[in-house]
Amino acid sequence: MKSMTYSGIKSTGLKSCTGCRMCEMVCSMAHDEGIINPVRSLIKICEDPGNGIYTPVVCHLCDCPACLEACGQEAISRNHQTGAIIISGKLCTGCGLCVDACEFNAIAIHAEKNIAVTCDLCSGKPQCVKYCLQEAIIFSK
Amino acid sequence: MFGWIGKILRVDLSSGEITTEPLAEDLRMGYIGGRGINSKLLYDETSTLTDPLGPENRLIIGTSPLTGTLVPTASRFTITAKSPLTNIRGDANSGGAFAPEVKYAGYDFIIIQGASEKPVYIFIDDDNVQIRDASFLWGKNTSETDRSLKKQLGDSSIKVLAIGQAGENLVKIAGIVTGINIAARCGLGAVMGSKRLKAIAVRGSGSIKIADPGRLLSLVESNLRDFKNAEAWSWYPKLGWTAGLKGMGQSGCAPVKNYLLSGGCDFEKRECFFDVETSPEYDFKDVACYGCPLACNKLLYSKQLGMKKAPVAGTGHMPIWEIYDYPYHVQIIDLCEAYGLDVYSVQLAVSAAMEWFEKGIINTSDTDGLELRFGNKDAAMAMVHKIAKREGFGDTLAEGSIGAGKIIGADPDTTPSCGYGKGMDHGPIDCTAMAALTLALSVATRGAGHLHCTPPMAWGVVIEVPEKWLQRYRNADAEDIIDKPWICHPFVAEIVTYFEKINTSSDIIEICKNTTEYYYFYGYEQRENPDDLQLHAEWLKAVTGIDIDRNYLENVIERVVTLEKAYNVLHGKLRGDDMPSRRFLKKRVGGNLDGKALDKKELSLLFDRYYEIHGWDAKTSIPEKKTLEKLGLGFVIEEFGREKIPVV
Repeated sequence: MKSMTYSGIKSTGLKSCTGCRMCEMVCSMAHDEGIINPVRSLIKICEDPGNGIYTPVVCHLCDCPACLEACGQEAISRNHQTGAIIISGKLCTGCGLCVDACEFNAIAIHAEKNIAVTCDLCSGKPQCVKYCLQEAIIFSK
Repeated sequence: MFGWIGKILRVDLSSGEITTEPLAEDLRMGYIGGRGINSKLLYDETSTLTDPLGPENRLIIGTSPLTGTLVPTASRFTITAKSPLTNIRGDANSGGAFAPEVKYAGYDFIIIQGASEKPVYIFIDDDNVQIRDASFLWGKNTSETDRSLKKQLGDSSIKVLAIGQAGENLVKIAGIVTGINIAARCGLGAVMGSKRLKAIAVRGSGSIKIADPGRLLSLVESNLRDFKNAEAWSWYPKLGWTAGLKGMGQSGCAPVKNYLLSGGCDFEKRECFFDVETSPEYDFKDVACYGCPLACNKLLYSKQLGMKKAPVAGTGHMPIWEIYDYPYHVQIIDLCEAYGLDVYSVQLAVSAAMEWFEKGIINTSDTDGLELRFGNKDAAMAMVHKIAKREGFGDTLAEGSIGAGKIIGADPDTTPSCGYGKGMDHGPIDCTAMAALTLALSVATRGAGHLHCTPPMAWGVVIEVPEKWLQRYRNADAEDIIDKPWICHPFVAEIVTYFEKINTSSDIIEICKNTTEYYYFYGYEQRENPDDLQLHAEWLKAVTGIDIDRNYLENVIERVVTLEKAYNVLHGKLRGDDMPSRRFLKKRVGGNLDGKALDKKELSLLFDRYYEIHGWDAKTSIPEKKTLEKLGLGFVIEEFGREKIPVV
């Protein structure tokens, strides 16, 4: 399912993410100017703090995206240059079929806009990667 | 409003009333946040008549305008209350992920007042705040509480602040735990316990507005570059502050046997604590506080111990019990965090008891049959259980070392770090013959403590003093003090107040002190942001949009420290209460400072200088009238007048 074609945001292993959540904060600010709200982040850290395990969850740029196939409104397409999944705010009804279809939990419904949102790779320069000092996430194929 | 949410949440556990009130402009502008606003709220809402364990005491949880805003490490919070251990102001600070969640839920401050009849917990789910029954949690330790609460609420991402059995049992050295972090000091866990408040669970989905996001991002980027380019980057994230343990041993401030032996004289025996992070026996996983790229907390995995929190910072001083055993040490820390106990105070109370036992002041009939001698691992561990449960002799030690000493009628000299701690021990640090350390530990406004103003060079762990400081030493004609820490040069007071500012500022904006000069001290002076206070002011300006500069911030810091001092003065704590106890004024015997002692007269002049710098009367340490006026603390002058406190 995962992309073999495009560069994406990849976790560098279980030990590297410390759960600092800098990625979530900067992602939310990059997409909502002037606001920090990690709940709206398009990269999520799945946490198991009791065991010290933190797993970054973000769009895998699947070769055959289940979200795209599940959408009955044709609101989901792909940017063929970057591979990013694009959601049309006009066409999306917020029905959530894509959310159910994604096996990585990497697409969600925006609480206020009521449309699906997922990682857009910040036009090829992912901010989350830039701010991860632990290099727990990298941008690569 | 940018940065701040602008809201205080107030929960009265007696009436069950839950209200919110705006965070007034005079609080924001005069005290900014965190420890600063907490101290003002405590001053306003409690008095000399407040019983620390009575319903009228306040438990104030404070965040800052920077909390949860991408400013690295801006995830700390201060809990402030009148301390049952000292009967003066108490504060405890912790990292973790609790504070940002409070902000995202829509509050800057939480004030808890009153007391519930039955055990309760508070669930804050954005606007929906409820006081709920906690009988299913009462009696559980802190990690069980965390797990049960998340299970009950059906959400593992909820952030929990909780007391363990120690807080429930009103143990005066109990702290308050969140995740693997603890706001340990001043016995504030007992205040929470006295209110029958087992825990606060919070879930937030709101936003924090940033005034100048572009400026914030560029400051963060440059701050991250500073972290990475510093020499400390090669060791700090890996070792955390356990690295300092070796230096403390070398310099002589690592305590041995309740300070009966000269600090660090046991250096060879301490080997078992050094460099464990690189030992093949253990595997470590770095875990970060929210928003911290340095991640100095570690979980440790080993066959023998399973998974435990790795001891950090100054908790590594088991030699104060004459015990040299790393796995044992890990277990004690784990036990203290589970019960919600302040490790430092436990170490000090038990080490004092060991001295009493060996001197025959107490015997097995007092200690429930335990041979409480130095080096007795089983007896010491049994005491930790007893303290948390207030069981047998643990009931006495639960009063803290100075309280316990009073009960059994021991010589105050046997509880050395409490003698001048205004009732609180400063944790295991031997400051004998070390002037900067002695001054810094003594004057902290929450009772003796090393986190209010201790300069990095005070530990004597510095092999090479950075050029910036060498120059300052030379200018002050004080080069001698670099390798002669017993010299009470007046310049020592300047250094202590310099670092007091950095630490107070860090507590006000609720960032980690380990991102300031402490981190860079050991060898990187090419910082893009070389001046911590300047950087702190710039963070504030970028986030809040208010024109806060370095001078403004310095003024706020001075206001906060002086108001805290005034609170303690109102509670009768004057200059004499800052003075070190006899044991620390003795000559060192053995170790690298063998034969050295502080000169009492010169030390006295050093304290004079410290008070003078603050504009406090050197004779009494009472803040002077002109200082109070200058800082806008006229209301303190009025109160001093009512209480007949002589103000010059």
